[in-house]
Amino acid sequence: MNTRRLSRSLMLLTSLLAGCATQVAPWERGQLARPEMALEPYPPEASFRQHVFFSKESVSGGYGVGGGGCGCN
Amino acid sequence: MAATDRPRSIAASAECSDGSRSVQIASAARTASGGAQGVNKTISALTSAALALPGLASSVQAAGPMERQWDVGYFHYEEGGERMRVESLKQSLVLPLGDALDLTLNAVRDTISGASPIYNVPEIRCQDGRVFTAPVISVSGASGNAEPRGTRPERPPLNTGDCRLGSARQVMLEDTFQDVRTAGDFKLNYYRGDTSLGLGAGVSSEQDYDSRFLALDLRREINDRLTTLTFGYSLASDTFSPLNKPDFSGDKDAHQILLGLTQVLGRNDLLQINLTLGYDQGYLTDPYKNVYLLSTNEAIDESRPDSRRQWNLLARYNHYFTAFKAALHLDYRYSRSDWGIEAHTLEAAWIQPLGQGWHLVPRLRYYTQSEADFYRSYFETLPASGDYSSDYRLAGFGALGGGLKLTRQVTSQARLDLGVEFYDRQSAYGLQEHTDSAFADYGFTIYSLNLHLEF
Repeated sequence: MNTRRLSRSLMLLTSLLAGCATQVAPWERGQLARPEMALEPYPPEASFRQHVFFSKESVSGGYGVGGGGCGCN
Repeated sequence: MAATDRPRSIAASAECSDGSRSVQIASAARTASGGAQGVNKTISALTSAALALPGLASSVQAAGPMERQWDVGYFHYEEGGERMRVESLKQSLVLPLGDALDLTLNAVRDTISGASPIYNVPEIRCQDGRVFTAPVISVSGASGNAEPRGTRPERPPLNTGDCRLGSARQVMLEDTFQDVRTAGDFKLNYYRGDTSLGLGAGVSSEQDYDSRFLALDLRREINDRLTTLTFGYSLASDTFSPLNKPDFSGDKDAHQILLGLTQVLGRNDLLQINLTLGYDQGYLTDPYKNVYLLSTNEAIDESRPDSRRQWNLLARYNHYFTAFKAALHLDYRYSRSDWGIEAHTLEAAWIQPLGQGWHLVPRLRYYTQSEADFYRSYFETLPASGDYSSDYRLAGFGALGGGLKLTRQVTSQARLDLGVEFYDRQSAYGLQEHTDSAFADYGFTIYSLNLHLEF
């Protein structure tokens, strides 16, 4: 039931995005290509932080798939 | 060209190993502004050049292999008091293999030591001023067993009206706990046109815990590469062999499915939305955690359900402020699990160049969760459902975190990052209604040092 509600909101968001996204030509994407605009600019630190939050908080993940479990949770 | 604060963007790509790239881009920009018809080929060259830059590889998704890079990081995690400490060494190597493949290799070694809470006992306050707590029951994680040892804790009768239950306090595992975790994984990406396919696998090993995983993801760029759709699946298979239960081991499988959408909203705006469904099945109990039973004055092993479903909806928004030459990262994650836990995570980071190759990155984080259906700080009697836990991580609470990182581009190929982050867990910071768990409040600090090389 929750899944359905979530996917419905996701679809709604998608259609909203399609509406507001302007056409950005490839040569206009310079700022987006900057390393600090990467979704994850510092991957090793991000993976350590997520590991810590995973072992100290009850919910985890959402950022990607993969990665093994540990005895820490 | 050392110590430049210029990012490796299109303008700076002359510094990259492929010198021809900047020429291509400059001419593409010229031709494009002239509006020439035969420009498509050049634009596509430009696009793939731009997309091949490492910065974009993880955001708008690369149409080609990532560039060669190596990261080595040291992380130090320390809780307040005499609690847990972790030293972590991490390495990551990215190797392009020809025009259509890249390989990422990760290795990590964690050294873990210190004490952690096992259960909570209530304090008993009497009218004559006496305060009783059950004597600390020793449970050794290294070689002992989880049964209480020594004399049974004594307490005055509660029914007489003279003595009443007060707040709980934590009983800690003795400071003998020590473990090493070694883990390694790889990921192979294959690029073909607008589609890329990733295959990854890894292992993690501890004295009492082994995990293996397999992951698959498929990315497809559509809408002139402004939109990327992602599908991912992973399966982890774990075995827990608790040291305090010599003849027992528990297995667990964890499935994850991810549906993702990354959208370029404008020249300076990028949005990602991920929906993740997780399903864990098997032995999900923590064999080192106990619950305290008031009726019998005993500490017994906790017991959790043997399955868990979890949903995450993650939205990440990046905005580039041209005036400040700075990037803002805003993340919000809504999570829900069928253990009754609902959580919100908010994160903000600001990446500010300071000139001379320096960057300053302040970061803020807020987290709040409700408590699990089967959580109590201690139990009067065992609940009929058969599920019970006093693990402070299943309690309702909130946490505030903040950090500061300083990075320095030392040469055109090497960057050094130095960071510190604080985390403060408080029962009172929790937004959702929950029973007070202030006795479990604590904090930790993470120090990080990372060297990033492109060669």
